[in-house]
Amino acid sequence: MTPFDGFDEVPVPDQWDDIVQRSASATDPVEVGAVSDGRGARRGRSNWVLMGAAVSVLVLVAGFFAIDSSRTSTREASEATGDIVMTPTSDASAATTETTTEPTTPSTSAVEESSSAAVPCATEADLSEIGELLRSGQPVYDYQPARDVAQLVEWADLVIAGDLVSTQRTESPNGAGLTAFEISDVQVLAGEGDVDLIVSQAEWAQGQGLDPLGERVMFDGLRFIAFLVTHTAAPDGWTPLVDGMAFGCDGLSTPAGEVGPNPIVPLVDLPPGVLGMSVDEIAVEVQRLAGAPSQPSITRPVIRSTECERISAQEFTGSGPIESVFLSRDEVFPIQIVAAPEATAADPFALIQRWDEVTDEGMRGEVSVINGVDVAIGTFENGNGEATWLLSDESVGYLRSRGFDRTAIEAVVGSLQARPLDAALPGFDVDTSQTRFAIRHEQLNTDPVETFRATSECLFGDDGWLYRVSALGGDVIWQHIAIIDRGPPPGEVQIVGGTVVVLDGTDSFSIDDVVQSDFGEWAQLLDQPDFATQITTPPDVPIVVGSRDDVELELFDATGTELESGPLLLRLTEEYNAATGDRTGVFLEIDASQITLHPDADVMVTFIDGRIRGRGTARVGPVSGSRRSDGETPAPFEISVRIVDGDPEDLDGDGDRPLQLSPTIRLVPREP
Amino acid sequence: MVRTEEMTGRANGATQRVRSVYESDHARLWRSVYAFAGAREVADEATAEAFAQALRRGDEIRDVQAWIWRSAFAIARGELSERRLRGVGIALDVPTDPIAVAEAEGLAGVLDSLGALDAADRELLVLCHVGGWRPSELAPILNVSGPTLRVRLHRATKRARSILEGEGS
Repeated sequence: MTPFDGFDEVPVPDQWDDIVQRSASATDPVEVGAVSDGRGARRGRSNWVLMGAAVSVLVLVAGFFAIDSSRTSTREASEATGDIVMTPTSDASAATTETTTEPTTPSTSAVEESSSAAVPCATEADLSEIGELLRSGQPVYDYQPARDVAQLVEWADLVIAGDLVSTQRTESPNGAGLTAFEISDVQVLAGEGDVDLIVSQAEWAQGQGLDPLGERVMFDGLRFIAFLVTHTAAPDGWTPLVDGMAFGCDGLSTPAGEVGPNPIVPLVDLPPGVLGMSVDEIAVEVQRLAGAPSQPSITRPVIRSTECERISAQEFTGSGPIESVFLSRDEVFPIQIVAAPEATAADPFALIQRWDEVTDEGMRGEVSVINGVDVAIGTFENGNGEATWLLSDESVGYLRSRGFDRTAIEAVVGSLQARPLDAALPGFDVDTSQTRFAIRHEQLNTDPVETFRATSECLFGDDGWLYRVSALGGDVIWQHIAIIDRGPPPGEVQIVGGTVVVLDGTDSFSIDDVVQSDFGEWAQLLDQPDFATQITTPPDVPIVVGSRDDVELELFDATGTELESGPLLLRLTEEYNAATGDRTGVFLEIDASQITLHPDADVMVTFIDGRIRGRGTARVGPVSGSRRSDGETPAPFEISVRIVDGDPEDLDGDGDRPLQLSPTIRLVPREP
Repeated sequence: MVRTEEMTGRANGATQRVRSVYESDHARLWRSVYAFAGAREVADEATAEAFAQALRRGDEIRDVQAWIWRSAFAIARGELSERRLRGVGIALDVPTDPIAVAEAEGLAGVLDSLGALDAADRELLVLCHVGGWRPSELAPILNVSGPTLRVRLHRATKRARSILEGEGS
């Protein structure tokens, strides 16, 4: 519903006869807009008669006003709103020229039309309007903003500046709405890569009216700077950080020391202090921060070797509070990372929390008395460690570490000084006189974090050892959590560019064997379920209704006697109404004529979609059946069978001893 | 010299073209002008005059449909200007029959809100939302580029939203 829908119901008069009469009553075409000519004579002559000579003057004056007002209204409109669009300059001469074939209407001239094809960026007003246009359709983001330009550089895979040629709404291959930015004269400021197109998430709902970017909008003189990350859904692979794209008019800046308009507008947002900088000034700052070329980040990690068959990939991005660290807790608690001053996430660190009460697991490990407090400390073969202690205010300190031995854990715990419980972040301070370690990162679990994880799996060797390699991005504190709160524990951790790469598996590969997958392969891997799902998902087996080609469901000996059990034969049969010819039922038949039963076999149990649907005496030969539909093609269903030593009356099968088992398959019925 | 029968043929052809546009566009054109002007009389006058002038021009007009739409709105603008000069406000005509009364009551708010808009905005909005024109179709009729029209329409919609919210949206 729109406010305009009611106009569809307004009755419209039939005017054709009036139109024909009008066309016949005048001999010369009149200039449209000169409202007093002709029409005045036809329509409202009586309105003017009484006014005599003065009416004649008024007619002339009204005519001139009519011509001028049509120009004035447009001019006023453009002036009042600060239109970027070139305003029409229709004048009397142009109006006269058009009279014979076209009416005089306010419209852009042919000369102006070519210049209005590209939206110019020359003034602050231009920039403001362009900013509104570019921001149309942008979603509301809940994200962790960058602290400053330096953090944007740290987070970005690539930082570029250049000219914005055009923009248009588009879609990703999976149908997600995007705004595409066509760019040129690209200057790489930090990182490595080739970029011609940048996309940003955007949606334009139908209820919002016509999409201003539904068609390509070109720009003239519009510069941009973008802090980019790779994204598999992006056509060219690049999308800006939420607060990492801004635009400015070429040449528009405020002289140093003066107060003036903001020379840039953000696509979404910008870190504090950046808004007053021009695109070129930000570019200079980025280059200063970037310094020496850094190693490219890995965001689509795969193991290089072809001996490890790549089977799947998963990607997770998110933004929000940390819901659980090791354990989900319904309380607000601090998370602190303690490590050496120069350490990265790949180096030894301790993650410390402070809780209201101890976990159900209690305090695990051997107790050491540290500063008069009992501290339970445990260390494990995988290099992880943990410590738990009770504070005097009955809160609980918990530490989990990576790469610390018992001595190091004791030193860290001994250096911790509890903050007041009503402190903004009620964790611990570190007495640096006691240890070289320091608090490197800290926040509350309710503070939002940006998270990114890309994982691929591959199977190595004849035995199919599973290797899993992950690239972690996002907030540094989250990276630490993701390294240490995982199973299995990490085999190797290394910083590669701006991401943390974690390798799980045996020692056949190292992180040196991890490379960046190309987009095409990565997209295919993302389509595959992970290894755990692959091995537990029943395979789909088609079965044709009414066909004599049975589906074989093998039985396997579960008792170690190596009995060749043979297959059960599955088929879908049909039932018809003799009078009408309609199919009234489709049945699943399980034919046991070709199996060999275990000597102890008593009961055959049939499972459909995980539930017992048949339990009867196990015999060779008979065919058992169950209705699958009332005539329509049955929906797919999972089926498995067990031959057991048990009591047929034991409906739950609690006392069954499995003798012969079938795998679970998913039958997919189809018509011939 | 053009022979009489040829002239007659041309006239018949031109009339047919105008008639064809009348059949397809008259109702929505009339309603668009009505929404723009807020007065039946203006819609009656502007629409009829536009078609009549198209008939008089005959073969001179290349694109009859575009010409009639442009003309009708140009005439309506002129008519409104004249009304302002004469002190006639852009007010909803007072209907007499029950259907018209109900219609008037239902649309009174919308017309009032539309009347508060800038004429250029109002024209764009009614052309799209009452006339049913897509920007890509409207651009050549108004002799502006597609991107220009979209930018203008975007601004008009934005300016109108606060006025038109609550009027059935």
